[in-house]
Amino acid sequence: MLHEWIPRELAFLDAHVPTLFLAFLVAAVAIWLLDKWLAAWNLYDLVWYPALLRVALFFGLFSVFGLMVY
Amino acid sequence: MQRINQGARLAVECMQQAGADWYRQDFPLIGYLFKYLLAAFLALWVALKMEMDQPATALLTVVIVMHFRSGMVMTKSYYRLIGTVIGILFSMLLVAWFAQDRFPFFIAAALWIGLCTAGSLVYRNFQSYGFVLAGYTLCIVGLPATLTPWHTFQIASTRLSEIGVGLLSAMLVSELILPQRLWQNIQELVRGKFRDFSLLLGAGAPAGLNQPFLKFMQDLYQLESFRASVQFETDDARVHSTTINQLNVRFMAVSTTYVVFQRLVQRLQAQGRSREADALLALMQPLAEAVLIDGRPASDPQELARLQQAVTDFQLGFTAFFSQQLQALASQPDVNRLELETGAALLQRLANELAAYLQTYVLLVANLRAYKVDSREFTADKLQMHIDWLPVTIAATRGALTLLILAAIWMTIDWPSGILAMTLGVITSTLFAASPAPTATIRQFSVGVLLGIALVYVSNVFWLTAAHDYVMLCIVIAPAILLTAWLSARPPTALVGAGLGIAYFLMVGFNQALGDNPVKYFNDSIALMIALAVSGIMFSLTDYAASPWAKARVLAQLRQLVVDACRNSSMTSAEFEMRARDLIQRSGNVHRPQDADSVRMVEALCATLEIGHAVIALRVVATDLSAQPRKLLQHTLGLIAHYYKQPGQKNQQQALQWLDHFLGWLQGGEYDQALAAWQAQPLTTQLHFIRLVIAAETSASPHPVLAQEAAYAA
Repeated sequence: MLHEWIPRELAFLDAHVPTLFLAFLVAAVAIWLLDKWLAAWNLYDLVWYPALLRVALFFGLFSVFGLMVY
Repeated sequence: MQRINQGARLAVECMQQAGADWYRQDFPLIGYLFKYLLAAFLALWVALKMEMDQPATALLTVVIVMHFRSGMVMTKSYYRLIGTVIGILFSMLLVAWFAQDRFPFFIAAALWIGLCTAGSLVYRNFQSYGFVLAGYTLCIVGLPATLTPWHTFQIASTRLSEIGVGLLSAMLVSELILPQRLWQNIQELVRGKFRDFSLLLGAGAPAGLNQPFLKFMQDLYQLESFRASVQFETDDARVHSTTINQLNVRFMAVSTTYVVFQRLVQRLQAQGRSREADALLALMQPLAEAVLIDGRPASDPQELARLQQAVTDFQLGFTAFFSQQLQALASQPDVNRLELETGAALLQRLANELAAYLQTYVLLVANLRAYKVDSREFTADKLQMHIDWLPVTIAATRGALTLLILAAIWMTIDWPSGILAMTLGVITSTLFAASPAPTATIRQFSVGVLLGIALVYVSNVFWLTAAHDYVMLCIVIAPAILLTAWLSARPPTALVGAGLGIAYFLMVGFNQALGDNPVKYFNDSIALMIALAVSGIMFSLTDYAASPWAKARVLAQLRQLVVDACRNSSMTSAEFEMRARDLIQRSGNVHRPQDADSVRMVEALCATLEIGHAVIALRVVATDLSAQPRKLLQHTLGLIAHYYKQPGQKNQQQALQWLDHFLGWLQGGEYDQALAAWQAQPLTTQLHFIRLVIAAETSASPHPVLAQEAAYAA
C-alpha cells in the first residue's frame, strides 16, 4: 500500500518535517483552487452553507492524504 | 374586552419591533463575543493538547486576528502568517550570524525593525499588518533565542506552531459560526455613495463643495480597504472585486469633473459674470433633474434604467441644447462665448463619466448575476500610491531607536523583563506608525495596557491558583477575552481593547507553569510601562504629521505633482488623480471633516486636480498636432510648470501673458495652415480654462501656508 512507500517524516533543509504538514499544505492549496473555481461558476448558489462545505471538503481531502501516509 | 385585545396587540407589535431591532443591532455583537470566546477556547484546547510551551501565544494570536467581519479575519491571518514566517526566518539568520556578540545583533535587529516600520507605513490596510508582525516575531523568537542560541530552531518551530493553532482556530470559528460578510458593508457603502452624489448633483448649485468631496474621498478609501479584504472573502464579493475597482475609478473621475465644473461656475460668479454662470447651471439642469426622482435618488432597477436612459438622452441632445442656449444669450451684450464653451466641454465630460459610473453601479447593485466585469476587460491600475519618503524615514528611525533604547536599558541594568519591554515597544512603534495622531493613540492604548495589567494581577493571584483543569482555565481567562472582544468591537474603544488583550496575554501566568510569581509580575508590569513611556516619548518627539511644516510640504508636493503632469509625458490623468488623492489621504489631515485644516487640504487638492487634468488634456491634444503648434504648446506647458514650481507674481504674469498671446493667435484665424478647426476648438477651450485657473490663483491667495513658508525661506 501507499503508506509503505511514503515516509512519515521528510527532511527539509535537514529539519524533520512531518509528512502530514505537507499533506496539510497540499490540501489547503487544492481547496483554495477548487473554491475559486466553484465561486467563479456560481456553484455556491446551490449550497446551503458554503463555509461548511469548504471546511468539510478540506477535512475530507486532508484525511485522504493523511490515510495515505499512515 | 376589545380594548384589552387592542392593547395586547399593540404590546405584541412593540415586542416584535424591539426584538427585530435587537436582532439587527445587538445580536451580531453578542454573536461576535461568543465567537471570540469559542475561538480562544479552541486555540487553548489544541495548544494544551499538543503540549506546546506557550499556549498564551496561541491565545494572543486569536486576539490579534479576530475581527467582526469574517473576510477580515482571513486577510489578517494571511498577512499574519506571511509576516510571522518572514520574521522567523530573519530571526534565525540573525541568531546564526551574531549570537556571540550582542552589539551587532541589536544593530541588525534595529535595522530590521526600522525596515518593518517603513513597510507598515508604505503599504495600506492589512498588508501593513504583515510588516508589524514580521517585527514583532523577531521579538518573540529572536530575542529569547539569544539567551539560548542552541534552542533557536526549537523556539522558532514551537512559536510557529502556536501561532498556526491560533490562526486556524480564529479562521475556522469566524468562517463557520454566524459569519458576518463584507458584502453587505460594500453594498451599503456603494449605495450610500451613490445617494450622496445624486443629492449633490441634484442640488444644482451646492453651497460647500469641500466637505462632500472629503466625504467621497473617505468612502473611496474605505471601499478600497474592503476590496483589499474581499480577495479572502468567501461569498459573492470576491467575484466582483474588479467591478468594485472599476466603480471606484469611475466614481473618482465623475466626482472630480463635477467639482471642477462647480468651481468654474463659482469662479464666474465671483468675477461678477453671473450671466455665464447661470447659463452653465441651466445647461446642467436636465442632468440634475434626471438624477433625482421626486426629490430622492433612484433606488430600484427600473428607476436606475430610466436614469441611464435620461443620461444618454442628455448626451445625445447636448449639442443642440447648447446651441439653443447660445442663441438665447446672443442678444445679450458682452457674453463671453469662450467661457460657455469651456463649461460645456466639462459638462459633456461629466455626462460621459456619469454614464460610465452608472453602468458599473447598475452592474453591482442591480444585475449582480447577469454580468461581472472581467479583470481582463478592465485593466485600470489599482489605486496608485504616492509615497513621501520623509515621514517613512522618520518612522523607521523612530522604530529602530525605540528598540535600541530599550535594548540599551536591558543590557545596562541586566533587566529580567527586557524582552517583554522590547516586544511591546516594537509592537507600538510599528502598529501606530501610520496613525494620524500617534500621541492620542498611544494614550488610548496605554489605558488598555493598564487595564490588562490590573486584570492579570487578579487572574494570576486569585483565579489561576484555583484552576485545576481545562474548564476552570477557560473560566479564568473568559473575563479578559470578553472585555477585549467587547472593547475592540466598538470603534471608539478599539485601541483600549487591543492594549488590554495584548498586555493580558503577554503576561498571563500559564506559560511554563500555572500560577503566580509576584516578582515576575511586577517586573513585567514595569517593563510594559517603561516600553509605553519610551515609545510615547519617541512618538511625541517625532510627530511629523502634526507639524505645520508637514502641511506646507504636502501643499508643495501637490504643486510638484502639477509640474510632473506638465513635464512627464507618460503620466495619465487617472494616475495623476490617484497620486494626488493618495498624497492627501496619507498626509493624515483628512480624517476630520469638520476641521479647518482638512477643508483647506481638500481645497488645495481640488485646485490641483483642476489644473492637473487640464494640463494632461492639453498634452493629449498636443500629440495629434503638427510641429509648429506643438512647439507652442510645449512652451505653454513649460511656462505653467515653471509657475507651479516657483509660484510668484512674476512667473504668473509671464504665464498669463503667454496664454493671452497664444489664445489671440488661435482666435485670430492665423492658425489656418497649421490647424484644422476641429483641432483648434478643444485647444482653445482647454487653454482658456487653464488661463482662468491660473488667473484665479492670485485673487484668492490659495496657499497661505505656502506663503508663510516662502517668508521663512526668505
